[in-house]
This record gives sequence, C-alpha cells and structure tokens, in this order.
Amino acid sequence: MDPADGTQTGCREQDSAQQDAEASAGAAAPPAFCNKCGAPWDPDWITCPRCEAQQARKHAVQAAGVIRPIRSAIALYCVILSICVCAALIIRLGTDTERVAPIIIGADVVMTIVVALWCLRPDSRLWLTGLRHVGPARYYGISAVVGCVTFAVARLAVWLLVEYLHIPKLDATAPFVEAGLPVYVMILVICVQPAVIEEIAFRGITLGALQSAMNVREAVFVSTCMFAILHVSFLSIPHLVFMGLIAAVIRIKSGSLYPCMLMHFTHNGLVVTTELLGF
Amino acid sequence: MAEKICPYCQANNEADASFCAACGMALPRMEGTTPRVVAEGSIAATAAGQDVQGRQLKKKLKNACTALFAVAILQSLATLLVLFVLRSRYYPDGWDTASEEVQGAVQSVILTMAGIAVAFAALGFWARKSPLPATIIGLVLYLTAMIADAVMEPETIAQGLLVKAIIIAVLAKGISAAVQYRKLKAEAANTAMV
Repeated sequence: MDPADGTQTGCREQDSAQQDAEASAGAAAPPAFCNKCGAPWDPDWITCPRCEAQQARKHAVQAAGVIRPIRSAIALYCVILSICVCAALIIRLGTDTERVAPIIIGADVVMTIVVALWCLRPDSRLWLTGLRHVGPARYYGISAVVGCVTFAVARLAVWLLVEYLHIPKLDATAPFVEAGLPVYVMILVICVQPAVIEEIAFRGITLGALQSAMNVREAVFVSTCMFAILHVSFLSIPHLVFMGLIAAVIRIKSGSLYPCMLMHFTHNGLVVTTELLGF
Repeated sequence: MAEKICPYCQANNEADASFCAACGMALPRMEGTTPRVVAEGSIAATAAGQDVQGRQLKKKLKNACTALFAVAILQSLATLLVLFVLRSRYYPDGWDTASEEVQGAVQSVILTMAGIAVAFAALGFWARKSPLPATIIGLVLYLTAMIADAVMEPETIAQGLLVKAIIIAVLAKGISAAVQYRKLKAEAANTAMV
C-alpha cells in the first residue's frame, strides 16, 4: 500500500472512528490512529513516535491541567536535590573518608524509595507510559552503542577540562574502594540505581509531565537541563547534556524507558570498569 | 444548552455555532451583557478581554525576563568579587606564582560562577521568545545554585534572603503566566480560525 494513501485512509478512518467514539462516550476517546501521519496509536501514548505529533488523552490529560504537571516535575526535582544536598552536607561535616560510601548508598536508597512512591501517584501513572512498553528490539542495540559513545564523549570532555583548565577530577569509585566495598556494590550503586531511578525520574515522570505543557523539543531540552543541573558538577555538564538529549530522543522514538536505562547502565558501567582498571 | 438567535434572520442556532445555519452570516460571540471577572487560571471569553488579559500576562512575563537578567548581572558581579578575593588571598604575587592545585580550584570556582551568569543571560534572551521553558530552567538553576551555595558556605544562607525570595516568587509567577499565555494564544488562534 502506498504510504500516502495509507496515511490518508488512516486519517479518514481515524476521523470517523474518533467522531463515533466521542459521540457514544460523551467524552473525548483515545484515537486509534495518529491524526497527523496515520500510524497506529497506542492509547497510552502522548506523542507519536513516528511524527512526534502530540495527541493528549483528553479525558485524562485535560483533567490534570497544565500547571500541575509542571509543579510535579519541579517538586520531584527539588526532592531529589534535597536528598543529594543532605548527603553532601553530611559528608562535608567532616565524616571519615570510609563513611562516604555508606552515606552515598543511604542517599541512593532514600532516592529510590522516593521515586518509587512518586510513581504511585495517579498523575505519574499518566506519564510513565514508557514502563508499560518494551519498545522495538533495535533500540536496545542502538542504546548499547550510544552508551559507549556518550562514555567516549564524557572521557574526552573531562580530559580536556582537567588537562587545560587543571580542574580537579573526581573518581566515582574512590569512596567505595576506600571503604573496602565489593565490586557488585559499586555496580548496584553507580550503574544500576542511577540507570533505573534517574531514567524513571527524568525521562519518565519529568519528560512525560512537561510534554503536557509544551512541545516535544522544549520538553526534551528542559528535562535534559534539569538532569544535567541536578548533578551539580561543572566538569560533567557537557557530557550530561549530551547524554540527556540522546536518552530523551531514544525515549520518544522507542516509546519505552528500558532502552534509556540500558544506555545509562552502559555509560556508567564503562566509567566504573575503566576506573577500577586504572585507565 | 441555550441557543443563539441570528440577528439577521432570527433563526435558532446551537450555542457554540459561529455561523448561522439558515443564512450563513457570522453570529456574534456574546457571552453575556454584564462584565465577568476572569478567575485565576481561566481565559477571558471575549476578544477585548483576551487582549487585556494578554497584556497583563505579558507584564508578568516581562518581570520574569527581568528577574533572569537581574540574576545574570548579580552573578556576574559576584564572580568578579570572588575573583578579586581569591586573587588577593591565594595568589597576590600573580597567577604564575600559584600552584597547579590552587589554579585548578580557582578556575573551577570562577568558571562555574561565570557559567551560571552566562546561562541566566541566555535564559533571559530565550524567555523573550519562549518564556515557559526558559523560566522553568531558570527557576531550577537558581534553586540549585542557591542550595549548593548554602551547602558550601552555610554562613551565606541568610545573606540577601529577601532578594532570593523575590527572585524565586517572580520566576514561579512567570511560569504560571507563561502557561496561561500559551492557553490564551491557543484560544485566540481557535477564535481567529473560526
């Protein structure tokens, strides 16, 4: 079938299907096809992965309004920032170097609990459609490769800043090595937890919430900036922005959060591996 | 649902009709004869009301832009002040006399502060075109910088508390105004299409 004909047909079918559905339900029903490109539409989607057209679920999204999602996204950011700040404050108050790792682990546990509870809010379920879909298999291969690329970009950016501006470099694994913790703890805390929780928080809840209020490009940029700013590390800003943009694009295109988690895990895994091997 | 009566042919039309079904003339969009106070968060129903509301919202958006530029200027001044203090404390005899460690630490602090100033200036310019994303990022960046500063130097928490509160309030109001302005523009666009 000619894609143009299929699209037009899909739009006509979708128009009549939508009208029938709206007339019978007495309220806006989810479309069966995207009204811009005719792609089959999943009722849980907000943005079409083919043409990026937004088709809000009127019966749910309009009820949530626009300002509430923005408040929720900023509130989640402030809560996560507060957890990080409390951990930093405790470390700064003259703790033994061996106690830094347990404080980091504690902060990660608290952050995991907070994000998990946030996911249970009715609004969050609206935006966490990415957890209900696995996405096309090719995006997992793409994500693994992209994770390696973002790692290379990060190494280059950090090397340039350290070499030419003499900015001190921090090792992610140093506190864990000093505390004598095993490698699997480092993998859990540095690779698995950030990959799962940060992706749910930023590419899931925040990106989904912001899409209710603005177009896709703006939502991607704002969620990426929030992700980069949260790390409060000048040295890491360039590669965090790059990584955040790529992860958000993968989330939009695949319709799933799991490829983003794989990308993040690959990136952090390479960081841990190279630091432990002394590269 | 109340019906609209066409002033040209007196035919009955549906309440949300824009053109008369009998004669095709445009129907007046009258919502009532008495003035209506527009509640917070809702959009004015008439073109004149939308115009007034639009001007009020633009004023709030302008305040948010001004707040972003104000933060950029204050941050720039703070950067220069910190540079001067660090210079007099750690390398009074010149930059070349400072150790590599000191140079790295100073550069890290100054670049971070200057980067924040540049970011706020860029956000101020962006807010003129797209106020919503710019004010959200501005508020997030300001809160983070303020909290990070409080952690690094707790004695500065109380300094300029009133100014910090005003900036946060203006940026938060700017976000609400930007959301409402978008709704207003969408409503005005729908009205123009009809």
